[in-house]
Amino acid sequence: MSRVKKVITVLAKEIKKEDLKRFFEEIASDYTVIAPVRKGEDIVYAEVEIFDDVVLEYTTTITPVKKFLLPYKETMFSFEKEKIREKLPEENIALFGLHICDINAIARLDRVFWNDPYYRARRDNLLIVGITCKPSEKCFCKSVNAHILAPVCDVFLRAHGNGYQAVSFTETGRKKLNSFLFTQTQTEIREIKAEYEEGKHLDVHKVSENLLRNYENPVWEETAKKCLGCTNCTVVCPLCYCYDVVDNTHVKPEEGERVRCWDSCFLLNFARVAGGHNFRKDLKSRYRNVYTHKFRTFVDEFGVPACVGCGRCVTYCPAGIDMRETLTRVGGA
Amino acid sequence: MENIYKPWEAKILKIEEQTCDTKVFRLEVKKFDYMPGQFVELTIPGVGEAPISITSGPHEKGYIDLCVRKIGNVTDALHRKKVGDKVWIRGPYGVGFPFETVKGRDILYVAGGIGMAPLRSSINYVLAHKSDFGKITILYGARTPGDLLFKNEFERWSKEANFLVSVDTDKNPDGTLCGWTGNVGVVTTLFDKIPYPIKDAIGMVCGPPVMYKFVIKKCREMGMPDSSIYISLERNMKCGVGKCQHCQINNKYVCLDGPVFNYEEVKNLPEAI
Repeated sequence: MSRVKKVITVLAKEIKKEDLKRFFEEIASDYTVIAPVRKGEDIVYAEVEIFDDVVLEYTTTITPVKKFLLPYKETMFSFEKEKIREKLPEENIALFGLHICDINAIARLDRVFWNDPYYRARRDNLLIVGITCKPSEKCFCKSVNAHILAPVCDVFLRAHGNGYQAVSFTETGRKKLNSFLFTQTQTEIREIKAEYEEGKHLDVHKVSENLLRNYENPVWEETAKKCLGCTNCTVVCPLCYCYDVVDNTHVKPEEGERVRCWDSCFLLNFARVAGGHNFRKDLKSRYRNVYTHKFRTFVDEFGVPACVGCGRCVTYCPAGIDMRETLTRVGGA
Repeated sequence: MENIYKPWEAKILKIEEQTCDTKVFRLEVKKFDYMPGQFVELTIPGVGEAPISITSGPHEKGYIDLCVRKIGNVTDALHRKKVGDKVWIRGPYGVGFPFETVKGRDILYVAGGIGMAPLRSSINYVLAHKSDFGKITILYGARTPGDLLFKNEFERWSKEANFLVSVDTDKNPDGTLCGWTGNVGVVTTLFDKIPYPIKDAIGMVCGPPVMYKFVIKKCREMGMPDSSIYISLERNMKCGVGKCQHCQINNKYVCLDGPVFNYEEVKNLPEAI
């Protein structure tokens, strides 16, 4: 018996550019649609009702899609007269027009939060529609193995001639592609990749090894001097998911709620314990911690870095710190 | 889907005052199996949640004891609770002190201050199964005589184990003597008072962060290999399930991989100690 390597391929369908609007409307009739829209000079993910507001060609948005799966603030439980009630979200969201990096970020968040009931409630109802990206010089998804689309994407629209090739990796997605708007082709698609020339390729496996081996690398001290500790990079990062939990009370002290909100390991009191001892008092150790988590802890846990190379942290650092430079100095080049 | 963050209610059965700022709360629990050194997340609704180590032994059934110092919002609110009041807990979480795998061995406990809380769980379990273990040594250090916990158990511990206590100072805050006649000095000074060799003992250590490196140095001087030493690390274990990142020490999570670590495993882990 000969061994045949099984290659999974999907047959692509096609949709004309002018039909995309109707596809959007089909989705919008079942879901609250979140898509990239213009905000001033930038692009953000926001709720969209009219297709014409959707920006189909863009480099990257300011905020990542994590805000729709792990909102900035969410109620976990409500307290009422000695009763604790869970409050699960009942949202029906379609993320329309996501790039490969942002979809892969969801695939990586899935590994962390698969048993988290709040994330899972949103995720189970989520529809992901991806679209071809427009890479910029800040992209480095190839370095962090995030340039190949993860099979969590329901429908992916690959720019092709005067329209799009459409492929689906999920049951929900296949149903969407049954719409009359799509025509069947015989084009076999094996994988969907971000196509571009990466400015500088980084070896994140080396980074992962070096992080703990060369803990006192001068790069931490030097970059921490520039770093403002403002948390901008962790806010815009699609895979920074540190959180804090706070209880709030109403007028009556026995009524209130437990709220989960974003936190950042860049903040001074992140590693503080009761009694006041702080395990990461200086910015240098907090700056280093971002990297050890992303490129070591997360890799040990899930086999991939907690980074998809979207370049947002590079764009939005007010001090001009470039993560790629730091990674290079930790031995990634 | 089960909500991993949802605590369940537990009635306070008993409250025992230990010192001016520390009490032991006995909570009613049904079917609750745990290891010494594990912790629970304790909720006071509207105030918050905090990780608290279990101080009763796993052989005690129907309840758990939590030894809590009043030091933050949640512990403050807990201290205002009365017998019969309800609190909410979830757990147990983490990896505790070994007890099955160290049968037949001598055990050395080193406790500093409130670090006695998780160690007492192991001490009382081991003493209740004394025939399974070798020589038991307990070294306990506190800041002042007034800070010593579980004084009502000292007599039993002295009888059943080699129990040595020391206080950092025997003076009251105003400089007058407070009538203490025992040892004065940090907990490491007690090592020299152990009348037998302890190089083959299993060490279990819990105390303030500053204590570890001195205790470990002493254990090494006594000939104990690093792999025989277990330490319990303190971090802010907010979620208890390895998600929130607050207790992360490089590639370890204190809430999942700890709070009790074999010293061999973390001695080269930066920021751990």
